[in-house]
Amino acid sequence: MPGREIRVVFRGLPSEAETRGTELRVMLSEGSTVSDLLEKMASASTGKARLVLDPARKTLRPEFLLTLNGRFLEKSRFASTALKDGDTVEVFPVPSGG
Amino acid sequence: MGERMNGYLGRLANVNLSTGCVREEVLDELTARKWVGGAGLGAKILLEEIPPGVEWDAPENRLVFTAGPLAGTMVFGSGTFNVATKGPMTNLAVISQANGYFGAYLRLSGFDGLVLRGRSAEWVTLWVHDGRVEIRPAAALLGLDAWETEDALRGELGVGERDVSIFAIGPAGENGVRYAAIVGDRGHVTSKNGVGAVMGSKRVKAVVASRGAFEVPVFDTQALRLANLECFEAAKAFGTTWKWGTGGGFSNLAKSGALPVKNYTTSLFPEHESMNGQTLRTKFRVRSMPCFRCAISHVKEVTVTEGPYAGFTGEEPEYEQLAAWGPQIGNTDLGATVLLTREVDRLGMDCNEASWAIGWAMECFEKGVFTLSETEGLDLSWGNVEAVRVLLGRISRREGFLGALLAEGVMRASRKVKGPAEQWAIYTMKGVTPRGHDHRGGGRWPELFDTCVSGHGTIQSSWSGIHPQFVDQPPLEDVFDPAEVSRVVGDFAGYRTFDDCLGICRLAAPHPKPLLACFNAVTGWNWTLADAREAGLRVITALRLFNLRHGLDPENERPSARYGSVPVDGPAQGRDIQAKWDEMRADYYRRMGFDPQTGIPTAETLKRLGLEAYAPHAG
Repeated sequence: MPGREIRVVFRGLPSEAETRGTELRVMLSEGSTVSDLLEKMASASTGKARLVLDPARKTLRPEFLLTLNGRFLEKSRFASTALKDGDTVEVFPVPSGG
Repeated sequence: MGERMNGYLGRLANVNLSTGCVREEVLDELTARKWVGGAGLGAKILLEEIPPGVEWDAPENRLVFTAGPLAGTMVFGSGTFNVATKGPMTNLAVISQANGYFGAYLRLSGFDGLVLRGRSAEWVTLWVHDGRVEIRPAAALLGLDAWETEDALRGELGVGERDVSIFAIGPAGENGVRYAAIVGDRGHVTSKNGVGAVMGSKRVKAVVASRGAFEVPVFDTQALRLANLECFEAAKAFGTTWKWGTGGGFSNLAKSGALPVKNYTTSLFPEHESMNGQTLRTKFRVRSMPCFRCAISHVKEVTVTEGPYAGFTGEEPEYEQLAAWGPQIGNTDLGATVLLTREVDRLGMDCNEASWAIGWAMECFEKGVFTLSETEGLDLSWGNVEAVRVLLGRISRREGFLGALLAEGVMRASRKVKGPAEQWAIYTMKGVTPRGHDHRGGGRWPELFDTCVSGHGTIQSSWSGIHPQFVDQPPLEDVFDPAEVSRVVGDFAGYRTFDDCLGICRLAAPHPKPLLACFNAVTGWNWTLADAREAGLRVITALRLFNLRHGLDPENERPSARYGSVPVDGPAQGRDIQAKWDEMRADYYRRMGFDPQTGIPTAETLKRLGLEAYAPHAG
């Protein structure tokens, strides 16, 4: 989509400490959705990305959750949720513990 | 003794505490194939031996310690055992596990289970060794905490640290605190639904099992070795427990709004990174304290190295304790969680219920329902660790207004106080205590639902989340979809209950498939996953039959107002699990083969599971 670019922060590729994950700043075209972001991340196809993203479906693996600016977003809304400049998307495992 | 049966010693010890008579019972193969062991054997004994009308503290109640067919084998972490009884929080069934050594040592001493009935005239301890049970006087142990009791008994028996496994009650169990636990092997706890209160009501201070010379017959040792290694690989791949302990998931729980913060008054805990397992193991001095034959070795002893409790040494807080003595009471000092973990364990109480009760009392104090008059001088402001420490002691002794009130558990305490405070308490309407999360947060709705419909006092289908993909079922795609939640809880039911029959620690064997391979290698029975699930479903259905007989009202299979409330902030703000609760429950009942309205198992279900003889109408 033509138009200006937006910049979002993507957090959560597992790191050695397995708490914060890797933080990346991603450039997207205006009007891009969460699905577009995940597809772009999956296409990058790094080893870490494959841990959380399903390259075939180009979305999150089922054992991961996603928040947009600190609020949960259901997978069914990924394709219809447009991102804005400055948004933060975070993915992390369905939490275990206890 | 009956014929040799792979996986079993084939014997149960039945102790009548009223008469002092110990009777040996045969565990035959037909019974073993139907109930497996552990939780299954416990459920069978509850169902067959405790008639309706028997209260939790009556001599007719049973207190059943069972190991399982893998206990005491080479399988890593096979020291786990179950305690089954009618519990005081719900006056319904409870089956609660503890890790450590006792399950293995019970079997190495010659028994698959230990069944206590009656009530002793004097306080006693039971020592299981060399194929027999010895009843010994315990008057000298009264008043000792659980750890002191262990030390005193080791001295009395003249044995070393790992020669025996000792599980004891502390002051809470002696004084009938409704959520008293049974604590052993320095930091392991079977804690749900007041099993320690039942033990105290029978005047049993401790049970001891020796590391005996009996051997568990194994069908195929080589196959067991390979399957055990598969379990180990699965455990290393499961989350971060093997590396960071159960506290390794603390920060992810915070990010998903699933930490219990100040009694659910908020879902935000920005200090989570200073309180997680990674910080704990990086900053504090750590020493391994592995359970029976465990290579994962997630159990540690830690020494606090900074802050007001620097120099204090205690067992490493598991996730449940980090949550209980961190966010739930508004504390942000990691060292203090080590202190309070030791305190609640040695007093012998369930950390979950203790922290729900104290967090509720702190909210009451903040909002003026309790003043320094009701607290008898204790400043119960959020985060006041020393006040919590004092209050734990008072609860264990049922001392003063607040100690006696909170010793009843938060459901009863809140109903006694009445007014708005009644709406602030966190429990299920059956009286079950949730584990230490905010289950309203992301990914935990299945556990909230499971906790409410479970038949035994804690989670039944879920554990550390829910994992349908482990058994080739569709994953949970939308964690806030009520239909998805009832689907995964119903369709995954049985698998984890089968695990609970085996005598193993799930942290060492989280995946059902290699675990089943271990079971088949030990027994030679060649069960499929479907067979294993059916055995688990039989146990769940048996517990439902027991509970229905003992007064379960399916209307109470729902959360309290606060437990099922809508989060006011955080990642799950505005999400309402109760909106479609009745539909979820009916769907779950249908999937389980229960009547969708009444929750009573159908005749077809009972026939399929071989439980016709226990049908509600069969008397």
